[in-house]
Amino acid sequence: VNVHAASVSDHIPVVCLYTNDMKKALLLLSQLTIVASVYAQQKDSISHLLKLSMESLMDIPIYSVSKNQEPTFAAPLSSSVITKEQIKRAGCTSIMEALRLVPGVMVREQTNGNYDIHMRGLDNVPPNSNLIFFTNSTTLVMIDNYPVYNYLHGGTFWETLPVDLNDVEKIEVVRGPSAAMYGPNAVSGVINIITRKPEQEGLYAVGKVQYGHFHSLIANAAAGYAFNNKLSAVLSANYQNRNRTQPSYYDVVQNKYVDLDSVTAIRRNPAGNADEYYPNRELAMRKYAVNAFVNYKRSENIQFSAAGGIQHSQVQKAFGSDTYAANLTTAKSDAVYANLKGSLYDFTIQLSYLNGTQSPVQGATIWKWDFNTFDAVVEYNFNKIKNLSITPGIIFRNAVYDDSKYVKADIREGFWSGRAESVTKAASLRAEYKLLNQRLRLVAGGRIDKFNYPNKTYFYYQLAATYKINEQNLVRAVQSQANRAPLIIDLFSNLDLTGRLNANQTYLLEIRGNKNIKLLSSNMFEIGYRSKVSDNLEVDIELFHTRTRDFSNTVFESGQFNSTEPVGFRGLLDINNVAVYTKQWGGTMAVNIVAEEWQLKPFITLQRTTLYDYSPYLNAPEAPPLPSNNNNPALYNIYSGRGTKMKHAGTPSWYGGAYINWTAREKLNINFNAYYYAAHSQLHSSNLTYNDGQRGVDRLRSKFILNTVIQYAATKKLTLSGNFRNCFNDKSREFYKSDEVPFMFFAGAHFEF
Amino acid sequence: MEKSCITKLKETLYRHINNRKARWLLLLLPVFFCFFTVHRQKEKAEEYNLKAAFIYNFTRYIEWSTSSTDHEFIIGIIGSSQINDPLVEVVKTETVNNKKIIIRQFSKVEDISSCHILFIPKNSTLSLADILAKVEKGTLVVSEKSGYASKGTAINFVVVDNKLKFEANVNAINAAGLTASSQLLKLAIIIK
Repeated sequence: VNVHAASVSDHIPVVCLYTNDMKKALLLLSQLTIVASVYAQQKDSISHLLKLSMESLMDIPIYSVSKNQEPTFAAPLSSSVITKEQIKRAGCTSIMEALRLVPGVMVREQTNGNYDIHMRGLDNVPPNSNLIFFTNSTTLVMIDNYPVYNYLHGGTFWETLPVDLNDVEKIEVVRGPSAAMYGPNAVSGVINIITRKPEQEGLYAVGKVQYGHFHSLIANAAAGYAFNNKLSAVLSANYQNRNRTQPSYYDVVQNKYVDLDSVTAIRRNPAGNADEYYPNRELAMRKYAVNAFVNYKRSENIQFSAAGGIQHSQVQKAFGSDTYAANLTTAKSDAVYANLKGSLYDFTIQLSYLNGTQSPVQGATIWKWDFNTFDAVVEYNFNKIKNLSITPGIIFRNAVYDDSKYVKADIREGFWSGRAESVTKAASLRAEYKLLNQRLRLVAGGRIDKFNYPNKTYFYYQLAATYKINEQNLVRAVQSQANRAPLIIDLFSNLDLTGRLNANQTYLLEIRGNKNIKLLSSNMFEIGYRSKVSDNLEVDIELFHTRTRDFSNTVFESGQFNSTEPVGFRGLLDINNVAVYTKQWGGTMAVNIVAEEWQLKPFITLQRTTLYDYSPYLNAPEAPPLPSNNNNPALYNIYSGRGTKMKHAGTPSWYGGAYINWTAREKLNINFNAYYYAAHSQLHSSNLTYNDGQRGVDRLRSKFILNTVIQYAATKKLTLSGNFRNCFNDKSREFYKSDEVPFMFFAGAHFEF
Repeated sequence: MEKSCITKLKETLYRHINNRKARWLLLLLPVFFCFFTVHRQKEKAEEYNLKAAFIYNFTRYIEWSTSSTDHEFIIGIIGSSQINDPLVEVVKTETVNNKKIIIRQFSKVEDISSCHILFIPKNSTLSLADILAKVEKGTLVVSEKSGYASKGTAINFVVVDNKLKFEANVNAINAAGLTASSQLLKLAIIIK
């Protein structure tokens, strides 16, 4: 009950500021609009060029508008694209950081180089959960259309992505439920990283090095060779090493940051093996990977591509928890992958395989397993009828997580103590029809998924319409529904926890998965408007309403005390659906202004999320009386929030950024990019334990991060850069009890030929 | 209760400081923007708008010995190209010798039919030799890929010092039965 009161009163100042900040944002936008309109000139128009003589035409410098214009103008869904040029100019040091240039994406840094990335929201729902439920588990992340999110819990281990910025051609982002078009788990959106291919015949090579504060070294290189206009190959490698920005760790018991050895959980560890949990205390991230790509384009109709690689990573981040670990834990991953794609006339075939070992909480026995995933997609594009395109597809997906090598499966020591296998067979259909002289475009997608567990057929859909009022203005609407993929943790958890209850007795907690769990699902209605106000001013506005239900959490189902047996308490916990559901209203506005040597892209998202039927009690009515349910489970249980509603504090009410680029001289480029969000509060399960409004609660301050990047092209092949991240040195932390995020300077060199 | 009020006040203060920084910056940037833009106004053009304008200009300097029965001037494009949209703009207002300009797209070599100008985009995967073998006499073949003029296209766009120039292969122009004016050749980089 205290939780509710605290979070409601917390919002009063936020609400007041909300209007102020909105005003500021609108003021800025109106200013930019005025400025842009002044320079909205028609010099570039064809009619103007046709009046000029051949000699004059030959004297006009070229610029490439396609690089600056938003490529998503006609897209039916809310989408954005960032290109490798923008990423380079903005001085981004990783793919994760580059997502700060995309509207509608929440990017919070946990430790140097490690980020929590959410789309539009749904973060910290349900509140008062364990850290693993803080992770975004509802976004479909892909590299070249191959899914790379984790089947374990639906999240993405960003540090395990084998590619880095030197491999990136562009990053495409779709906001909103889009599973019918893109596949399961696209509940809050899709992030698709498209890799680079050689552009012209012969050799190209890219090398980048950035070195900065906290021993941060980012080095990557790629060499590509196009044998002719049909066959090309690329070999690339990347390395990142980053130290933490502070030596201390948060200790919930003392409610402060202390040396690792003083953290209560570490001190209580009878094994005293803190070094196994924390092999490199100062290290935030060390990762490397090698990739190879081959592309063969026999003709427009026959194309093949293959990719393969190997990755290793070790990071400290806020992800999992263990009795003897601090809030940050060491996560390790080693994996290999192979992808194959072929387009044969109207057929597309895509196969991908990933195999590796993960230990997200290094040192803790239960947190280690081998995994492999296999994906196969076959699609056929039927486009024989004018203005109509139909694409049916079949999909097979197999994910195996196996911890039997690392745990004693017979005593259920591991997370699922054996082999957990999730199988998906699916059929999809996409159709697109243009009518009214191609002005009205209707896009429909539907998909049926049959999983081995939960043993139920899921159907979801997406309907989108765009209407081109004229060449400059477009309105659109989307109605869609999407499900999260079945998660290994939800379905297969099979862990026994034992310990001492008193001098003579032990306890046994059986933690089980739930093969009949309902998959989280989201319904969205969205309208959007895009306008090319003038040659150099574009505006993109989207308004959405989303309803999401069937969240899952660990629920205390039942338990019995027994005073005579050696096992004095036996309890059953399972992963089950909880009553809470959310409704979110929001809007995103993005503006793109191109004028001479300037490009400005400010964007902002405003949102409000309401939790309905939320109960902080994670026990069934049948659970035993415990302090956590006020010794009255019949009254205080997962259903006791029925009929209530509260504003959700976990997602900031406004957030956004800006990309401002100035090509000052032919050789000199100056870039300002900003990222900002409003204050918000994250609630951890320890809030329920301590219930003092301090422990388990992190009130994250609003933050405005400004990065400034100066790049000088010393020669045609070599660019030198000075990269100032977080110029105002606002050190405030961005994620629940993780590290501070201060100013960092990077010096860099970028070599390309 | 008191404690939470103080915390709130502190938070509000923090926010205020942050927002003041933000406001300062946000207000200043457009000012910078205006200032520099005023000082650096130059004429520039988008690559494919320029190429479309060049192609239209070629029609003034090249003579097609076309039969008088032709009512249309046909520009062919191999596959899809960014030049398509600017050419569509040209067609809306311009004619060649009072003939309507028509744009045709060819996705395969077999599809290539009679046209006055044929544009080969740099991303085309079709073999140049196959295209040149299929092209009929009376077609001005225009390309935009380095080395293509010496491989037999009549005109090839090149970018020199960020400006658009063109190579002319006089033999190829003549072999196509076309006549290029000396004015045009004076501006061209001649490839033999």
